[in-house]
Amino acid sequence: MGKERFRGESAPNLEPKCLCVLVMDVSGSMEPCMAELNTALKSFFKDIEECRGGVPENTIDQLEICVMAFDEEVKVLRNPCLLEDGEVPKTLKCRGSVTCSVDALKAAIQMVQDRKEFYKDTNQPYYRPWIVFMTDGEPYPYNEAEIAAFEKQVAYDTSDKAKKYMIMGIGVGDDISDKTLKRLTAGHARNLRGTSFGSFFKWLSASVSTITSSKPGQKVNLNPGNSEWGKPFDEEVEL
Amino acid sequence: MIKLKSYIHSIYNKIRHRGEHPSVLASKDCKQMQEDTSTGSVADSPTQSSDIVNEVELSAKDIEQTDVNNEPAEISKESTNETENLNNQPQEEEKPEFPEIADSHNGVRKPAISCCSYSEITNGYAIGISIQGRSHMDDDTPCQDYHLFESLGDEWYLTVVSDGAGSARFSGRGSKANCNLVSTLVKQLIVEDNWKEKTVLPTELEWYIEARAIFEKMKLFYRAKVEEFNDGSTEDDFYATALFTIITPMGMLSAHIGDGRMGYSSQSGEWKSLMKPHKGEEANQTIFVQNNWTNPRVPSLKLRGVSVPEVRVVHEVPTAVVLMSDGCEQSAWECTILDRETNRYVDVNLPHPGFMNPLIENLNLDESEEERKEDFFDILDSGTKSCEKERDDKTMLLVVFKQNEL
Repeated sequence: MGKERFRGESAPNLEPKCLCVLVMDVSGSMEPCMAELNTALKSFFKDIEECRGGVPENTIDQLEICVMAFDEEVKVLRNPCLLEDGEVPKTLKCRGSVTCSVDALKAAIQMVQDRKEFYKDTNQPYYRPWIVFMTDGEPYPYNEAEIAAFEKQVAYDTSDKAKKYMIMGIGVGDDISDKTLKRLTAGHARNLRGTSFGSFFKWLSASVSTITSSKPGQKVNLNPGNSEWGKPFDEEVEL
Repeated sequence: MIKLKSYIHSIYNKIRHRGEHPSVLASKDCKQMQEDTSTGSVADSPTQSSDIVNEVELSAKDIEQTDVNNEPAEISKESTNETENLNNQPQEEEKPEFPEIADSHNGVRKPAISCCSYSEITNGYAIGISIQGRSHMDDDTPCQDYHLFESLGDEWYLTVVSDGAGSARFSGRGSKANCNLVSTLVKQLIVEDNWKEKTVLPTELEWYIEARAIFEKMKLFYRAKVEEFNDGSTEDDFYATALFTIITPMGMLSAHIGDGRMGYSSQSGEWKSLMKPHKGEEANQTIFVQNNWTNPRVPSLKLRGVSVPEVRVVHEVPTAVVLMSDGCEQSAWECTILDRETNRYVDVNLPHPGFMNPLIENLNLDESEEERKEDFFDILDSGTKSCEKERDDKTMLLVVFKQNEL
């Protein structure tokens, strides 16, 4: 009754922003699964825009997606911003044979820092940004000193003391070793089951919603555990 | 087939996904305070099983037994809070005390109401509601907000709102306990210090000292309680904010720790603020009564420039007073408004007249208590697009005086 005659309007407040940086390996070895990855990425954009799969309505006003692709160089395919109406992500294409994982992650961290500065400059509230790193192999060429230095940095950045961003590594394929991926992502790495990119991105959109729905004091658990799309590297499976 | 280890891990994670992981906000000092109100983590270390099935009772009886109220204050209580007693069941098993309202027209599931209050007062009415957030509907957890309205006699009124922390295990009971503790302690203060006999409000410094003492006493209460329980529970498990305003014939006294909003409408109908919320760098960070904010510090503890606790003394008689948890602020408060001159967003920190005035106009038209409660629920739940989209618990406590002719 009252609702029908209620002529009120909400304050024109900005929704807090949630930045998600996708760092995608497009080196040659990713070629066999690239079609599925692109399809899943498109579906991810559509889920956010159309609030499919339980994505809350306000996610479209909060989630800023950044897409970076790397092989021998790092390319920003989408700068951080909200999705446009009907936006389709750029198609990821495999390129060189070099995998400059550390450079890509450093660029992602810089992107996060720059965006946080922008939020602060413009006084926009924001949730802790999130970096998702997807690769099917070791950095190539492999530089132990560089990896060791980066390992320290990412462990500090994601520690309870710094809390600069959250990070997750997704290992693609059965042959990937968890050792380096875990070092590059402060231990937060998962092994993708086959080519379950679609399930992964469904989980990602749900997790972003969890972040944007989180309350003060809430430690948001983004641990996917033993899920449809991924498994811990150390999972023991009986054949 | 997955081995036992993985199976246990997956069960554990299911439990954690339901928001039952204990909060990790054990803030220990000033600087950490801003750091440890965490947003998120991909941490995956399992917690102890006792974290999941610990039963702690924190009841109204507990409060009466504590030393905060050795001599119960003899102040009339006209509150009609329908759920004023603290729930003494573990939060994991808490069920909404009001049945969920099913929309008879389209069958849409509506959120549960955990607390609803209504009081006719001599010169108006007070109405309050705490509604389960949509994110809590999704994971089937109860509303963690609570509120309380009490008439203290002689046209003195107490309004309190508390918002429980996201995944603190017993934050729902923490918010109820906060409201009841504020009530007990404020009444004690008014009686023992003969406040009603005084013809002037305390100065801001005097009020700060008293309000701080109230919050310190509340914090001590939790410490004593968890020591008494001796079952592994900690103060962190009850994390909840507290904001309250004492309305008197001379003006208002407000105090708070945490986020949320309080404001009032002046005699001229202008909406004003009664607090600035305590916020951290990230969007979902704040401070709770149970945090370690009491440690002496130089300079004193402030969150983004706001003292902890923050108090206000207002020498103005209001036509309406509103308190709300942060779940209502996107709709009813001007918090992040674009300043087109500077291209920056500004926390204007004022009630939004475009929401508040029509809300009061609407409620004033209602002819019965039930009608008014129903309208209040409907408007906060889905009166605007922003109300509909909000995922957080919503609490609003509104006192409207009859001279309010908006």
